[in-house]
This record gives sequence, structure tokens and C-alpha cells, in this order.
Amino acid sequence: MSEQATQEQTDERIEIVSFAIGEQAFCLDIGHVLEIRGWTNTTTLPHAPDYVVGMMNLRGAVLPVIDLSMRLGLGKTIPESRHVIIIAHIDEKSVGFLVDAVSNIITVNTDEIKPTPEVSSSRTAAFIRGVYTLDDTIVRAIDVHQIMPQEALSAA
Amino acid sequence: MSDLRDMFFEECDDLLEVLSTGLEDLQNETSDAETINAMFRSVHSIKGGAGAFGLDRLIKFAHAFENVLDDLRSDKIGVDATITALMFSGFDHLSDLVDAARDDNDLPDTDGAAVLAELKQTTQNANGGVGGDDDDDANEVSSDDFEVQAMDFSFDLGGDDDGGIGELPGLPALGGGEEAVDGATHFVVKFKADPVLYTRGHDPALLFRALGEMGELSIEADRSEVAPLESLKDAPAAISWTLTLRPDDGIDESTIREIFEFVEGQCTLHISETVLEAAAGEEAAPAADAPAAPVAEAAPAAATAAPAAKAETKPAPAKAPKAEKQEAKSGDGGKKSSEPRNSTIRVDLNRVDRLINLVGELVISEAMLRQSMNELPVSANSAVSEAIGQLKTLSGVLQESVMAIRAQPVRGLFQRMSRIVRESSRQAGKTSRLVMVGEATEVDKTVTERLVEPLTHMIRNSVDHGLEKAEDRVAAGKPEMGTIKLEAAHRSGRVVISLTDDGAGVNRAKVRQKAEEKGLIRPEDDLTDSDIDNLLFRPGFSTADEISQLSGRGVGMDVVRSEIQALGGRINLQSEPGKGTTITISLPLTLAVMEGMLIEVAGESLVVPTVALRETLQPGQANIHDFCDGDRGLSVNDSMLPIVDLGEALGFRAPLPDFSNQSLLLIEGESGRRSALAVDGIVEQREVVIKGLEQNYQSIPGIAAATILGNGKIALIVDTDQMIPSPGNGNPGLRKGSELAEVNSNV
Repeated sequence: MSEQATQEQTDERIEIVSFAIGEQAFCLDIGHVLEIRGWTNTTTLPHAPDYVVGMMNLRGAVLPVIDLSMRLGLGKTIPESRHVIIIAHIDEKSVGFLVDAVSNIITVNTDEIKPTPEVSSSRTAAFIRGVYTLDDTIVRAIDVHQIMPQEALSAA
Repeated sequence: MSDLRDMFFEECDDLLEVLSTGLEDLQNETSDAETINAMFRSVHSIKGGAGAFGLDRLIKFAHAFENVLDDLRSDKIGVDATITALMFSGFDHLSDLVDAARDDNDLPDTDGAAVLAELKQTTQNANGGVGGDDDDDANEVSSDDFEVQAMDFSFDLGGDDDGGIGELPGLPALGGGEEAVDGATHFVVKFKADPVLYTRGHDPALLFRALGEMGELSIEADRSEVAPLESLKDAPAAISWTLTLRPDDGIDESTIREIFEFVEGQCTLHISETVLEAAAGEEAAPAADAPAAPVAEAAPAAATAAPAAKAETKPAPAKAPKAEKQEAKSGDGGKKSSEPRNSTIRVDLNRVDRLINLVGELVISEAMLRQSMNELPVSANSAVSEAIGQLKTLSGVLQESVMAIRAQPVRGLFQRMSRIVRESSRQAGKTSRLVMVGEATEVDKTVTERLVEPLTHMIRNSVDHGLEKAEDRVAAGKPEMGTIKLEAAHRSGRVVISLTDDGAGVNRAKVRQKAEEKGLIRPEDDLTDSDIDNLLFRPGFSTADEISQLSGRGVGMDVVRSEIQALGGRINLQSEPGKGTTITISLPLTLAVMEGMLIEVAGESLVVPTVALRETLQPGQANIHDFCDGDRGLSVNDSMLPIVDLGEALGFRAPLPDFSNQSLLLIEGESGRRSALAVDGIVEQREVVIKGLEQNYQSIPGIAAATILGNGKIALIVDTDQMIPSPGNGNPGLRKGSELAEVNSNV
């Protein structure tokens, strides 16, 4: 019986990677994160949305780098060597997220997540799954599926 | 078990291919005895395998099919159009059954019932004259047949044909039965080994071989006492053999007994002498249908020696020519199904792909190394640069060899298409045949797989819209049967697959009218014939007055085109009124490497595929002429080509005020249209490894793919076809930067 209880508890505990964009803290489920790299130059894509920085070469694989700050409406990042790219695997695709810095890997309980405040911005509602409160910091959980570039672009 | 099952289905694909090849030969009257034998073996092996997995419907159907093939090879039925058609439907249904079994689906019972009945009927008619035969057939379809055939299958592995263990390799004059019908004296040896014979290490095969040296020998195995597979223990001891020897001079019973001297007391041996009458042999032949019913025939064989010898006369004619054939083939190193199969191995495709990826990365690393070497102060003929040069050659060869693993002949693809032709002809009420040319042409496996859908659609279109109705064809002085030709060839580094029908050709007036109605073109547009033909590829285009069962289901040629383009291919249509239509697909040889020209635009490195490149020039301003809205044209050899500013087209920068410092690349699209790309500089021509953008991102207008340069940077590969303006063609890559910006901000 006690075994079952433990089982339930561990099921609810997940690890998240928290990172900073500007003054704000965000996080993703660690299951999506493949690796974390320093900034490398990217190749500009024609006709790409403004939040797609370009394509990067990850050991022979070509993958897009998304400026998360721009994607979340927090202003364009001018990439420098201090910036970090989080390589994530989402919906069968590999993608790099350009962020300011990776802060920590934290274990949280899934039920600790609180709903996103009902703010007016549709972007907030679409991209933020909810928030965790950790040591007085609000960490915003990103909805990785929504944050990916949407295919509709090329069909337009 | 599931591994075995997978292996069985993989084998089924091969076997079906053999069967299909045979059917084609049969239809084109290029078949010989071996063709039918090979077909028989295929169906037989499918049946055997199906038995092992308890696929009852497949067994039943394969059995009926096999019987017809057997009657064919024993010349009870002649090959005619009806039989060929029946075999084709049989083949189609057999493929369906295999597919259904593979996916664990159940086909509706009614499916193929007609074909099955027809197959059975054919066998019955062929054997109808003889009373005993119906019984044989009935027995064969019943379940006890299954056990016997399953045994057969396992013996096939080591042996040859239906003879199974009876036909031992290396025995001379197996088909001696032909001469047996000449009234000569024969010895009939009945031999059954006791288990102790085997435990003492004797081998009946050696004894038989010794016997075979004394004259012409034919051997018949009686497996009727062999226990079913599940309760099988001492298989060999349960088999008895009937050996018929036409002795050479000076051989008598005692010499024959000498052979069996060593195994005396360890076997049951019965030797008798008999004279075979020619007439008797003929009479007995139809009654004893030897290959189809080994069990039934073995019974009389056991009773008396003479009838067994007669039975031997039946399969002999079929076997004799085959034996010759095999000899002839091994002589010239031919490779048919009868040859040992160990020349190929099955490898998981993922492993091959992994290897290909690794080699691709090796090539990139090699290029990176070479580039950094160039930047070092090393003299050109030092040992290092020599080694690097060697490395370059090796990695190139390595890459080529690895790519060749994925290359497969298009035969399988084409054969699938022949079925589509049959089915769509039937549905459209037309008669047509498929002619295949260049089936041996090798294409990347992914390409062949992804061509199935577009080709299917194209063929349906050809049958439905291309070919005229029979009466119209006759009126136009054409043969009633329409011909659809599928052709594959390698041409200048690409694979070209063309589909030609001898139909009415594109009705250009109708196409034009339809396109105007749909607003695809304006009435005042001046279109060449080829422009009009290629309107068929525009989305939402369908000229069929009424939607037929085959095509016109909303999936148009535009889908075909986009699928071909996704493979890096081009599609083009040519038509001659009254003569027919040819659709040509041109595809890259591999999906991984291509020749490209490295260029620079607005600080970005880009690659223009060399296939499309015709010429590079540094124009004087005099050759450039301004038109409205900043459009410019270039006069080359008395013609005017549109100039496309690549930097602007890709949204990298604002339009340039003048092109005097630009290099121009003359490119030609698949449709034959040309334009001039204005770029900042031309760097070099090189081989690039293609990296798809869709895998991690999405397709980008104007860009075909990406590649990785020697310095590790990514360069985009320009989609040249989208850089050629054309009145009848929407080119997303050519939308002005501002329009695209709007689209993007909406996302």
C-alpha cells in the first residue's frame, strides 16, 4: 500500500529547466531538453517570422533557432557570446531556443502549477501554460507545442 | 515468431515480384518453361509459408492458383488471353491476401471468391476428362493437404523444385523419364531405410548417386508415412523411395544389389525388372498427376512397381527442359530464382540510413578539414596535402558506395503500376496495357516509395482522361487497346521517369477555357501550348466533365507536382493532339548530394543547383533594360530574360538601384523557361550535402534545402524553379518582400 503511495507521489514530481529572459524566469519540462549550448552564428532565413533567428548547425543537423524573447513579445535579442541556446526536441522536431541564461534544474510537483492569470494578451494565454512559485520567484511554464513556428506560414 | 513472420512477408514481396515478372513475360509471350516453373515455385512457397502461420485463406487461394500454374506447366492448359487475365486477377487478389495477412486485416469473404472459383473451374476443366482427378483435387483443398505441403516447404530450402527430397542434387539424368517410354528394360528399386541405417551414418543419397552412375535414374519419394510437422520425430526413416533405373549395358540385378550390400538388413529393399511400353506410359499419364498430388500418386506406386514407373513419365517432360535451362544459366552466370540466394542480405533500413548520415557528416568534416588546411601555410605538394587529397577521394567513393546501397531498381514500382493500369482500365471500361522500359534503372529507395502515390494518380489520369474510348480509338485509326508506357532512364545525373499514353492528348481549348472560368488565367494572356498543358498542374484544376470513379476526386495533378517537388524533382507535360501525352518526371539520383554553385548575396552564402545553371555573366549595363515597377530584363542572344534580384526576392535587402556590379546566373527551369539571377558574387562550384529544412522546421518559399559548408556554416540552396517568373505559374518565392512580411506578422 505504501508502495503505491510512493508511486503516486513520484509520478507527480517532474524536473524543469528554468532560464532567464531579461528579468523574467521561464521553464520547460526537462524531457524536452536535449542539450544546452553557447551562442553560435546562424544563417538568416528568407521570409521567416521575426522570431526565427536563423538556422544553426548542430553536428551536421540543421535546425532553426527561435528568439524566445521575440516570440514572447519581450523584444528582440541581439545575440552575443554570453547568450545560450537550449536545444529541445518537440513534436518530432529539434529546435534551438535563444535565451539569456539557464538558471537551474528544479524538481517540482505537477500540482504546484498555478493557472496563468487571465490577462488580456492572447500571447500570454497561448504560450504560458501556468506558473510555479519558487522562493518568491514566479517561473513561467512555457507551452512548447504552441511556441513552435506554425506551419500555416508556408501555406499562406 | 514475429521475426519469422516479418521475414515471411518480406519474402512474399520478393515472390510476388517473381510472379509478377512471370505474368508480364506470359503476357508479352516471352515466357518459357522456366517462367512458369518460377511462378509455380513462388506461389508454392507463399502457400508453404502461409501454412506455417496458419493463414487459411491465403493457403486456399494460393493452392487454387498453384493448381492452375501446375496445369499450365504440364501443358494441360495453353496460355491464352483468358488465362493470362485470370492469372492477373489471381495475382492481384493474392497480393491483397498477403497484404491483409500482413496487417492482420480480414478481407471481405466475397473478395476474390469469383477469382477463386474461376481458378478452380479452370483446373477442373483441364482435368475434367479423367475420373480419378477430381478426387485428387478435392483431397488437395482439404486440410490434410496442408501438412504435406508444409513439409514440402521445409524441404524446398535445401532442394529444388516440387521433387523435394526425392530429387537429390548431383544426380545425373534426372529427367530420364522421357526415354523411359521406349520399351527398354528397367529396374524398379523400392527402398525404405530402417532408422538404424541412419544411426550408423549411412546416407541414402550416396547410394542413389551410385545407382545413378549405372544408367538413367529417376527417383520418387513417398512421404505418405511422414508424420505431421508437430509430431515429427524421425522424418527420414518414414520416407520410402521408388527408383526407376534405365540401366546402361552390363548392369543387372546383382550389380544393383551390390550397391545396397553395406546397408543389408538395415533397410527394406525390393528390386524388380519391368518393361515399359510407350502406349502404356501415355495412357497412364493423365491419371497420375504426379507433381500436384505426390501422396495420391505414391499409393499406387507402392502397390506394384510398374504403375510407379508409368507415373514417372508424367512430370518428366516438364522437368527435362528445366534441367537444361538451369545448366545453361549457371554456365553464363545468370541469376534467376533458382540460383542460390546468398548473394544478398536483408538489412534494416534504419541501419543503412544511419550509415549514410554518418558518411554525410564525414564528408562535411573532410571538407572542413580541407578548408582549414588551406588556411595554414602548408605547401601544396606536402605529404599532408597529399593525404588530404586521398582522404577526399576516399570519402567521395565511400559516399557513393553507401548511397548505392539504397539504390533499387524501379522494377517493383513499375510492377505495382501495372496493377493500377489493369484496375483503372477495368473501372473505366477501357482496354489498355502497360509497357515498361528500363525497369532496371536504379533509384533511391525513398524515391521509389514516394513515387507510388504520384505515379498511381498519373496512371489513373492517363487511363481516365488520356486514353479515348474504344470506339473513338478505332475511329481514329488506333488499335483498340490503349498503350501506356512507363519508362525510366538515367540522364545527365538525374533519373527521368516518363509516362506516355497513346491517347487523344490534352484538349488545349478546353483546358484554356476551364482555366479562364476558374480565374487561373486571364483571357488576354498569351500562352504557349506548353504553358497551357502545364496548367493542368495548377491547384483546383479538373477538366473532366463528369467526375468519374477514378480521378476527379479532388486530388489533382497539383498534388502530384508538389509531391514530385518535395523529392527535389521536376514534372513536365508534353502533349500532341491525337497522338498522346507524355508526363516526364526528372528526379535527383540521390536525395543526399548535389552539385551546386556557391554564391553570395547580401552577406549570405547560398547555393544554386548546377542542374539549372546554364551560364554565368558579368553584364555591361547596356544589356540591362528597365521596365515598369523596377522590373528589369536582360538581352541575351536577341531574347529578353527577366532579371530576378535574388537578394530582394529572398527578402534579404531592398531592391538594388542598378545591377552593374552584380553577377548574373542564367538559370533554366524544368519547363524550359529561363531567367537571370542577380547575385553579389560567385564563389565556386562544389558538391554539397543536402539537408532538408522540413525535418526540423518547414519549407521556405524560394529555398529548396540547406547544406553545411566547409567552415560549418549553413548555406541555403535556392529553389531555381521558383525564381523563374511565368504568367501561368504562381511563384511564392517571387512575392515581393513586403507582401511576405505581412504574411509573417500574422502568424
